[in-house]
Amino acid sequence: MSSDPPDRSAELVQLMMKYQRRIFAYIHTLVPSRSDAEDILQETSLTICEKFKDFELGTNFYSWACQIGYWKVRAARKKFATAKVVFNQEVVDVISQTRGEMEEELDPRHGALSRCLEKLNDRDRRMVLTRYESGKNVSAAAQACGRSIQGAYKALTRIRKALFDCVSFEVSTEQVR
Amino acid sequence: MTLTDEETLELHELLDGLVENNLSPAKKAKLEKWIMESDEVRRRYIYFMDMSSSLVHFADERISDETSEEKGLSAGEKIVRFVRPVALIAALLVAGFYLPRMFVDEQNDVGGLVSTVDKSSPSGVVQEEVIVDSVAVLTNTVRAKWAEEAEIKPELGKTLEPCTLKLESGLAQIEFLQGSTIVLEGPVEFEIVNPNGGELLFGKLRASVPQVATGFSIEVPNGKVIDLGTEFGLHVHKGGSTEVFVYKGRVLYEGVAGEDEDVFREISGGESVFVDPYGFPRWVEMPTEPFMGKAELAYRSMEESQRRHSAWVQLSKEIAQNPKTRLYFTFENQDDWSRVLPDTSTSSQTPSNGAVIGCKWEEGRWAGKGALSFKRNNDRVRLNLPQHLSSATLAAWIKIESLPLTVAPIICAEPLSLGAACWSINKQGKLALRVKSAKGLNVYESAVAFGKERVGRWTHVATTLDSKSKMISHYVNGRSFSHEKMIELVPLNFEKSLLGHSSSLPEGPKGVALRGSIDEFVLFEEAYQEDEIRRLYEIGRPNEPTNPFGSNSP
Repeated sequence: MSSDPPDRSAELVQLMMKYQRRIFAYIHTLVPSRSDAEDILQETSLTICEKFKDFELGTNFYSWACQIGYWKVRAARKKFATAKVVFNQEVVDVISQTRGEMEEELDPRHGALSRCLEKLNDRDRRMVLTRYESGKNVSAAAQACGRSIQGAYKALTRIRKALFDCVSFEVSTEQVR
Repeated sequence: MTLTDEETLELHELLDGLVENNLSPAKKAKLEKWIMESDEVRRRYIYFMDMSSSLVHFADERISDETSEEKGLSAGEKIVRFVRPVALIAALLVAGFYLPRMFVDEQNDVGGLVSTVDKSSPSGVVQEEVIVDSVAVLTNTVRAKWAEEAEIKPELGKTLEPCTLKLESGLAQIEFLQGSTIVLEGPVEFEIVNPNGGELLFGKLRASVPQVATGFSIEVPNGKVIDLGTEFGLHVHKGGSTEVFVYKGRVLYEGVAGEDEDVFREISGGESVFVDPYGFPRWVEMPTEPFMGKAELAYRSMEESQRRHSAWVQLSKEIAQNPKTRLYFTFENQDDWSRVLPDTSTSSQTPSNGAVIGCKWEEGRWAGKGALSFKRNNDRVRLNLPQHLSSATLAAWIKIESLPLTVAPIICAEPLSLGAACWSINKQGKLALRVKSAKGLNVYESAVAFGKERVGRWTHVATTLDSKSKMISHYVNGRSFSHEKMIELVPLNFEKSLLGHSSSLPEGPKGVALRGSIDEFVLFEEAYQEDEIRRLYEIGRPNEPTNPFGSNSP
């Protein structure tokens, strides 16, 4: 007698909602082009759906998903246009390994970034968040903030560095507490 | 090993280029090597890219919040909205999973979300246009030939309003009022748009942009090149592709590839990008052809000067040996202290050398060529030419320092005998020949030939007296400025005459100097025709000066 597998879609949706940002972050670390990283996330998500029946509850979903992501990156490297920035496989491997060792450090940084964004003035915050909206670029950020494109370019460089330093400071302060 | 401050800044610059998909192969290679070799660089890289992912998350979250507020969505719906539809929902649907109703609804809203993304403009550049009439100046040319159909064919030194320049061949240097300089290399079509930018429609240019003019931009077929403080070359091919080569500094290329893909490339010194006709950029090793620069233009100018000088030396030998030449001053090969101006014509048995009084030697039309300046009231060259000439051609290269208040004499004889002549530029800017006759003075004037634009520039002047046709003709820079019937036929004479000075003008003070310079003077006993005068001008024409404004700049 055959029986249908239990419906695990709700379980999958919950896990994906919880980990999707981190899976994307992992892929984006290996593939600096955001649009390429999004494409690979989509392919990874498909495979996760297909293979989810094999996933054992109680094991590390994030690690399992990242493994799928890693192989998707490997497979996709050949498809990338030459103009886009693609690291050598050797570099991808070393980044992937180091990132695996740093996972615990990264989550607090996400929370710290949220606080650091609040510390920016309105114009800078609008500039950087507009830049990172889906489909937007430096030009869109410049337009949203009434700046020239080269002004926006410089401003984004400054803001990213400020956020990076702020996050590092926030995290180190938390560790002291 | 801890990174130094400089290394940290350099790393962040590379990372910025990386996330903007704007890293040259050389920089990408450097970053890869650095990531492989340095644990700290690798960690910083991961922190940076993780931050970039988080920024994507917060940007989407902000959109989600704004949309939820607009639509009054519940907290649960907000959570769902945050999940990126392109990545997850589509994937799950394709996989055939059951989805709660809210997810499907969410997918239907994707269009609404996407429609909020502004794709209307590939460029967010805020132009700070300065509204002025003149926006640039043509400051140098080398064998420049403007296209027949060109809307304007500017002369050197001409100020330019927004216009389209069509250069068929040769080089033209344009200085924009905000400080940038471009060199156009024909064949080229370039539109001057404003004091800090233009559009390259076709052909090659090289731009040099000083700090004060940063932001100078040039439109090309699929985008725009924005200077970030630099020197760069551009080449727009006929098929619509573009090459950008940066010599030093940085430029930003922004454009649209395909139908609506925005593309950016930050290009640094030594790097080159090729943009295909569809707008897709790719890094290339070197441009296909070199770009003309200011230094090269100066070099070519020098070559051009030498070429012209050689041609003129040949012409001057021809003039000196012409049996019709009665007097010929080349002003060549003179020492500063020389007080004798030799007549180099070989037809006379006794050359009519001039005695230089007061005048200073200076540089003439070319580097190394001599000229005499007549600036002070007593500056003059005294000479004596006994012949009487029933037909004659007077020709000279002169440069006046200011428009004459009374008259600017070129050569004037003392009005002692019939036919004593004075050749000058009068205060109206007309070339004039006065001839003493039995009844008084016969005056033959050209149309107005000298205005502010001729001040400080070498100009060729000629006047002919033709006893056969009984016509007096005046020429400026090889072109006829007037023909006039002679009032009476009186042979000219220049006995006891002065070059660059007059001491006996009826309307002027007792002694008047040219207030300018002469670097060639010839007197033929024959009336030259227009084509012959044109030849004297064309071969003797100097290479254009680098700064044509000379003394008449405001």
